[in-house]
Amino acid sequence: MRLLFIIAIVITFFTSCEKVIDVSLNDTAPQLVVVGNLRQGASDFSVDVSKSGGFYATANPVKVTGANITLQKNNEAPVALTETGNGKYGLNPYAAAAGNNYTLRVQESGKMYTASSFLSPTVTLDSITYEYQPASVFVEEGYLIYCELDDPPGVKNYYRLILTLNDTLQNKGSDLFVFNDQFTDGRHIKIPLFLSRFKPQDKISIELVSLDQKIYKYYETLATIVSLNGQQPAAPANPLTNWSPAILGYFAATSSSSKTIILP
Amino acid sequence: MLQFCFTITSTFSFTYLYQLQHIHIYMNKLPGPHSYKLAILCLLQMAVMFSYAQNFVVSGTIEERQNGETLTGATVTVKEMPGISAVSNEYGFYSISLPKGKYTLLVNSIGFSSTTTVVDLNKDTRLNVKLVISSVTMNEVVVTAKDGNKNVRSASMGAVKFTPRSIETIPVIFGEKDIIKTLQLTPGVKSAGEGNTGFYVRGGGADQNLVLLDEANVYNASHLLGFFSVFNSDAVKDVTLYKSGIPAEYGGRASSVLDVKMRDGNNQQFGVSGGLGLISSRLTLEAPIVKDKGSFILSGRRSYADVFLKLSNNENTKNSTLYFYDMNLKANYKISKKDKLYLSGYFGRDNFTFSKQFGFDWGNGTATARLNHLYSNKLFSNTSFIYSNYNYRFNIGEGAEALGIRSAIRDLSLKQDFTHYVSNSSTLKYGMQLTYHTFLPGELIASDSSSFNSSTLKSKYALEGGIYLQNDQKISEKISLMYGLRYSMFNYMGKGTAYTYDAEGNKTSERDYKSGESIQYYGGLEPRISARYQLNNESSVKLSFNRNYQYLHLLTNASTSSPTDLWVPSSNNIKPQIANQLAVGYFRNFRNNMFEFSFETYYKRLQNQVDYRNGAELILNNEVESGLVYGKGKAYGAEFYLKKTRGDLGGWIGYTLSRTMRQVVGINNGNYYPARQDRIHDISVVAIYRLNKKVTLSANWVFNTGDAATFPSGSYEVNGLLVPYYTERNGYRFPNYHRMDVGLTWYRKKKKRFESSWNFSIYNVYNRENAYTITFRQNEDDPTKTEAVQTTLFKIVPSITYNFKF
Repeated sequence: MRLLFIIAIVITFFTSCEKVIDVSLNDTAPQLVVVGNLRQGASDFSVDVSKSGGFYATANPVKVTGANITLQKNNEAPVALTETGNGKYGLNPYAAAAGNNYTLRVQESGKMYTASSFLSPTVTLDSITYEYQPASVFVEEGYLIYCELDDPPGVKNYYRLILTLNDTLQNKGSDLFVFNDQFTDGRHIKIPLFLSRFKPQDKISIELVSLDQKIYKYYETLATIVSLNGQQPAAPANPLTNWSPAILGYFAATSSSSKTIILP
Repeated sequence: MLQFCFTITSTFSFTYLYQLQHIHIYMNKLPGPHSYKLAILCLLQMAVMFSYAQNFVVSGTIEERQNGETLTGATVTVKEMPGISAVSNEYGFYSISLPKGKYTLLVNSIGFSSTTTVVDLNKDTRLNVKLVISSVTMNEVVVTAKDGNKNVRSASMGAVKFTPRSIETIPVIFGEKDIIKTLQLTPGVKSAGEGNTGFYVRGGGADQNLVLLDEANVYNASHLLGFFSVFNSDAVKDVTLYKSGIPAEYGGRASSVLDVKMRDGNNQQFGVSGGLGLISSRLTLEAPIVKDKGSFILSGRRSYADVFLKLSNNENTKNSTLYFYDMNLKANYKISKKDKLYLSGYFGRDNFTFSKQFGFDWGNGTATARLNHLYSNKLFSNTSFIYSNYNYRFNIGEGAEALGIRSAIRDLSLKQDFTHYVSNSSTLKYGMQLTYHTFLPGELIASDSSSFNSSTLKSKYALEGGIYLQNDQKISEKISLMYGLRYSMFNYMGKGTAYTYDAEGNKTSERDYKSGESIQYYGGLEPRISARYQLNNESSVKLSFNRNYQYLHLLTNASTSSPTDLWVPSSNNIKPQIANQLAVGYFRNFRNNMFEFSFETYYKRLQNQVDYRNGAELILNNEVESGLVYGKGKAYGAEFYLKKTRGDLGGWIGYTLSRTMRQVVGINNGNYYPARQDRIHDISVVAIYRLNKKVTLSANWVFNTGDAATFPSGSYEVNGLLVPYYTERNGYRFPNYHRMDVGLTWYRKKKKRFESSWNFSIYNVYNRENAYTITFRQNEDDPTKTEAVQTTLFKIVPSITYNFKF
């Protein structure tokens, strides 16, 4: 994050410019992408299976049909997911519970892929607080938002914040926000969304998601390649997945807590 | 063995005997096969064979008359005995042995009128020579730091030397003359990025350059994220970059040595010089302490972009700063005819504060205390105590929420070097160096009421040492050799905890070590050989081989250098980097040395290169080594260099054809891939034209193949987000880079002692939009589309600088 700051300054100070350019890129064989989000509190569970396409190919990825997928809770018997069409596979109803380890197995074109995720207990989002900030060279004026929570002591916690602004989910690459308690274990954490400023009357909803370590790493490495205003890493690479053998996507079991406020 | 030692030592003075024993004691402490020791002794023996004769010695110091600056690399020749010559060392000292007789000594140094002195030699004679700046220099362009045909005749190759004076008219970005940016315009040296002072030498990494300021290691040689080097041209005497044929006295980095020497200061009269630029201003004061005996120089520089921020009526902006400053101080004093004391120091800092919410500052500090001592008119000694420090600090938030992060690296060194003028055909250099490194990888300081727990990473300690012996030897008129051997060692030691990891980076064990207890010891022999064969008076071929060990490694996860890049020592996990380089060259001068041409080709192999895993945590991580992976590299290339050294038009054309590859386990399926700096073609043209007494025009043009880069070869969707898909490391290229800069220097009429000039320059004059970064992303307005976006850092940048001196 601090690098963003510095780069922003350098770019403001000098005569930089941005333009869309035409770079010819190779096409590679389509790769399998499996994304599964198992949420505590949700009534069902669904998995998306697709293939990667050319970089410039517009959205509408190739959906994969005919895969065999099972979900296993701890050492219980695996449950088969039903194909619901358009590359989706699901269990409905399905209730996930914190403190359990879930394993997703996908069989596709004769190969088996496995990913496990631990559903961490919910950490309550204590409150959303705000503070008015005047404009500066770097950011416009507006409200700076803080999320406050009490970090459970003695355990490693990994978090993601998901922002919904005026009922619109903020889902750009630069909106990916993950943090952990490496230096804040057991503390009352007050974390600012410090690159954004909000307007009066904005409706702010924040979901505090508890992740396991591998999913945290996934989001962290994903953020380095999709963040719009971030500095490009020297050697961008695919995010670290919990799929074994490695394919694209991930399987995450998560719990969360939310709060909503309306700014004055 | 003892007898062997005795036969050698008996030929020399007692002082030398003492020194040899000194070396011998060190050699006895060397681990490793006995044959190594024998090899060192054989080197000594060879040096001795060419040395004995009943001669008188004429020796002394060569200085600039006007200000008493000692002159390095000045040549002393004897008219009556062609073929006999001596070169002054870095303290201006020279020594020649001649039989009894009357001689005419001719002293030459580039940019100075040659001086002739007649000596009647019937005893050892002290002869100090003062040279006057040549009037020719005033009236023409001089773009070399080597006089005559020295580039053809010396055994050294792969060395580039500049003085600030020779490059002052070359246009640079923001008009801030910078010796490193000029070096980047020579073959084999590549810039680490647009406007950046970081550099790659012959395929080596930016951290593989040993950057020395008056012998002190400078860990982060840049200001303002790399746009300015820490070297203030006003305080610099000369700069030498060794790309190959690195002399044995230098050690510690794998690819090159950048040796920056500070000026001594005027010991004749008080002087002031300075400059006002768009970004920063400089002021230098120098004066004798006691005329002819000692002098000092004090030079300061500060940028002032933040002054404009103060004009803002916005509170946050007003309280923001962004500046750097540096100070150079050097003093010298002749204690006696045989002893001279030097003190030099550098302190520089970058400071960036945004309102009260965020503060970030970083910088180097170095100090060197040196004592030159003449044991005899043939044995010159220098003892140095060196301190070097680099640190950075963050301050985030204010009041109860305030948080600080600190990190530092600190060195204490003792260095002893001898130059022994054994005979006119052999100059021995030998010595040792010991450095105690302290690494403070990171510390987090928080108040009790903040969100953060204070934590401190464990400090790391290491002792690095080296002993060396080198002989610069003329075998015959046609052949001269420079050969040497360096033994370097590194002891990574407690107090600390050592961890071991499996192939995936998972911790398998840990062990605590007591203070001073060795965790891991490394050592190795570094042979350094250069040979020259003279084809005729104007041309020669040269060959060199060198091996270099590097025990400190820089971890960085960004494409440009950052103040937070982390230096780590070799350890039980990280092995020392080793570079082996073989180079061959052809050197030819034309038209009475007006043109210098060289062709050099090299092949270099690098072992134990450090890279890191995807997602590795480099900051505030006690187990940073778990994120590292290791590999090797190779680099090869050919460099063409044609230089016009003087006349109304001066300058050079350089062309480099090269490849730089890396191979790292777990990256790119274990196959070789091009390193980022693998720029296949690299051209630079520099021209300086003296229009008349008042106006000098200059221009340079650079072209290079775009950097190797990793671009996506597909994309896929995750939760509505389009994610680029990457296949191979550095499989693509940036667009080719090219740019032209022009400059005009207008010298005002000299009034009494007051001289001044205006420098106007335009960076990137034809406004080429070169790619600084290329990012691949989802279109902001239409999220179903992906696009490649190029960022250009500098379009056309004009600047103006005013320089003065009195």
